[in-house]
Amino acid sequence: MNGIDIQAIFFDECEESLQAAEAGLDACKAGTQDGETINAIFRAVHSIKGGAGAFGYEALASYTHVFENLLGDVREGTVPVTSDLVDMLLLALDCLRDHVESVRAGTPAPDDEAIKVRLTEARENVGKDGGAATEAAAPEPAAPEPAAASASADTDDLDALLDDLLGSYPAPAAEIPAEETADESASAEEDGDEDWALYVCPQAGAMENGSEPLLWLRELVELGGACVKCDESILPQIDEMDPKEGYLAWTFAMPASVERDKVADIFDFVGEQCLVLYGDEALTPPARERKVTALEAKAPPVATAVAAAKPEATAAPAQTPPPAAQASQSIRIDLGKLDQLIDGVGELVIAQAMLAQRLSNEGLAHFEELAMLEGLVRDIQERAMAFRAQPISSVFSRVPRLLRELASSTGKHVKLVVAGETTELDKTVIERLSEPLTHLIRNAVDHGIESAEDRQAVGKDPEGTLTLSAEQKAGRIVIRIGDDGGGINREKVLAKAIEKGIVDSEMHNLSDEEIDNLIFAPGFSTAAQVSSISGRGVGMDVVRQNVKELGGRITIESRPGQGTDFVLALPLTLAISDGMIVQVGDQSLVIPLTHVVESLSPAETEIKGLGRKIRMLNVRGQFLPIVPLRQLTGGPRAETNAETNMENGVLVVVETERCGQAALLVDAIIDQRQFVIKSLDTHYRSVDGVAGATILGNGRVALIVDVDRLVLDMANRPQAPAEAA
Amino acid sequence: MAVIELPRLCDRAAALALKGDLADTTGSEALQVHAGKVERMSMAMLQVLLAAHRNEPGIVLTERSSEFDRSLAVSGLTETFNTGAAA
Repeated sequence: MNGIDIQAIFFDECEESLQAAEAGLDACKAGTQDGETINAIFRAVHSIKGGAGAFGYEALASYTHVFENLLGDVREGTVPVTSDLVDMLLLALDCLRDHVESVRAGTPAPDDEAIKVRLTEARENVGKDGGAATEAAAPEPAAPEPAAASASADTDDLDALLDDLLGSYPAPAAEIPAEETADESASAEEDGDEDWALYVCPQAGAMENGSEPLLWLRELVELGGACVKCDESILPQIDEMDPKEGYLAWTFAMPASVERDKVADIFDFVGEQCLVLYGDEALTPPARERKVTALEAKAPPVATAVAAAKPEATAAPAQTPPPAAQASQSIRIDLGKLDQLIDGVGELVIAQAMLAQRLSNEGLAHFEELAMLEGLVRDIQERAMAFRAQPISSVFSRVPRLLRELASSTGKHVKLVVAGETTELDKTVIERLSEPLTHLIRNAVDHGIESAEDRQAVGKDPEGTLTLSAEQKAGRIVIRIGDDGGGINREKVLAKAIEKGIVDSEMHNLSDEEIDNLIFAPGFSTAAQVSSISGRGVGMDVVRQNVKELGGRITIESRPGQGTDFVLALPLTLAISDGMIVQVGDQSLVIPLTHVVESLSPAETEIKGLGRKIRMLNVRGQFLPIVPLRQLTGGPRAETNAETNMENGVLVVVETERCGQAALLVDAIIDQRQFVIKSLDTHYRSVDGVAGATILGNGRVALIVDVDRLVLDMANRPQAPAEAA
Repeated sequence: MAVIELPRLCDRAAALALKGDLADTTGSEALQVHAGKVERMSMAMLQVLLAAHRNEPGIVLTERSSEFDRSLAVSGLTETFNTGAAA
């Protein structure tokens, strides 16, 4: 693992910490202000601070230090948790997120002076009030945070590697304003120019992988330190000892002139394998305990006696890793390796399908072992895909901040209701979902939800409500972004569409759904004034395009006066999908099942001509354009049997994003199954009307139809289906 | 009096080997340990020597390289070993 890998882990963990802190603050806002919640927020910020210090991100470390100071006071109960305080902490968290993003992007740090002043004042003001209000509203004081116990359960975590050691340090002195260091436990900073104490207790792991604690001691001496005590109290008899274990601990006197960050550098990357304490803490180290050997089993444990004599020591950090750290339940895997595994599983799916096809050709398709293999392959495939699955809460958790920003820019205060945030979908889908979701939410607040005055005028709660929900339905993820605003003003939308030439002025028979969908037309906007939030007239088109690129669809459900829901139906994964395999001439093609509405064997009377080339299918009174899929296969120009006699073929009715429904003409439907999506761009080149390719069970390559593009090309313009005469 | 000479590299492996030797040693006299060739010390070796020093019949460090002395000094154990074999 190199430095870049570790940095990547740091940023991943920053994201997790930010989410944890936001969840904690949201819980506080909702009224849950217990010690554990406050502790979780503190740990999250503390964790970021530790990593920032380790990597030398000074601005981030400095900011988190100020943030952490206030959280520390909140945790100790000296600053009361109030609604105003939580709001400020949320703003501080937003700024922290900006800091992390700036570090990640290598851009200048955000301006944090104002919020730092507020964070500092929040601590100072309590002191001026004598802390009278503190007692009433303070959370239950949390138990002291054990340095080792705060380690992440995941020993691979950067947290475990860095934070719990570095978190014990104060931030580098150069980054900490003098007045903010007063509360640090270290005596050196309290006493000004006095020597300070350092406690070093290496564990077994500190002697592994080339690490040598004596070298650290030597560096301390070179800095001017002097060993004042070597604690050998737990050193066992020679025949009971294991030289690989750590039995010794040292207390050093460090000169006041030595900054702690210099010392911290020595123990950089040692992790939890060496307990390092500073200042007063170094003078009262926790009781040490060693493994009791068989010979000692009957003897009273020394550590117990020590602990009994010093009750406070029992609450002090334990040197051994917490049980959770010993029994780690998760590991981090490089995404590239995971993708390789998933690619391999995809090949396995194809190979299994090919084997099944071959055996079927030989009349051996009904072996029990084959069915077992098929079940196992599907099981492996689903489990492999689950590796990439992430809860959608990672996207939803960013929404509160967005709403706060929108509240400050629009004056509209919106209540957020979230459901199904544990719903999981593919990591790539999650990452690419953020942008369209953000735009939809901005749009909902800016255009959908009315102003507080307008809402009150119609008897609504002045505070609007935005509802986000996610659920798995029929193999897809359905995400609903709903507002309780005024709904889409269809008259205004239609008038605007006519004005912009998006629809013909003679076209007055559009359904409500069709009018709603006009907002997805390129360049459409009803916004009277272009704002920085939305209303630029390009967003909704881009949103639909983004969703489509994810293999999904977006629909609108709007109720006048009651609000609008945007419903996104997304695939669980981008790698494997369900499709209908159809035959066209001598070619097999795959139609993604998400587009398929129904399939029909048309009667001759249901097919009508429109001009010389276009034929329409009458489906229960609605005419749909017929698109022969032969045009995709590049086959002979002569019409296939199905085209000549359509009643001999099958028409697959598909739903498209821009052209409504259409009927794809094929010779026959062969199968319906999952298929592994292979990028045509990667392996060949982009081809109009083709979304990709897959390998069928017979080993042949089948093209995956880009239904939207194919129908759009055929129609050449958006057109509304005409009613049957 | 039994004599053991510490190797140039007193790492964990050497400590493990020495621990075995020391644990097997019997007798009433302190074991002589020559540390004159030591070029690199480790915490593991220090622990073994300290345990042996504290236990009967103890050890006596005879020759000590500068590196060995420096390791004792930084770890605050110079005086401990200067007292000779444990009583």
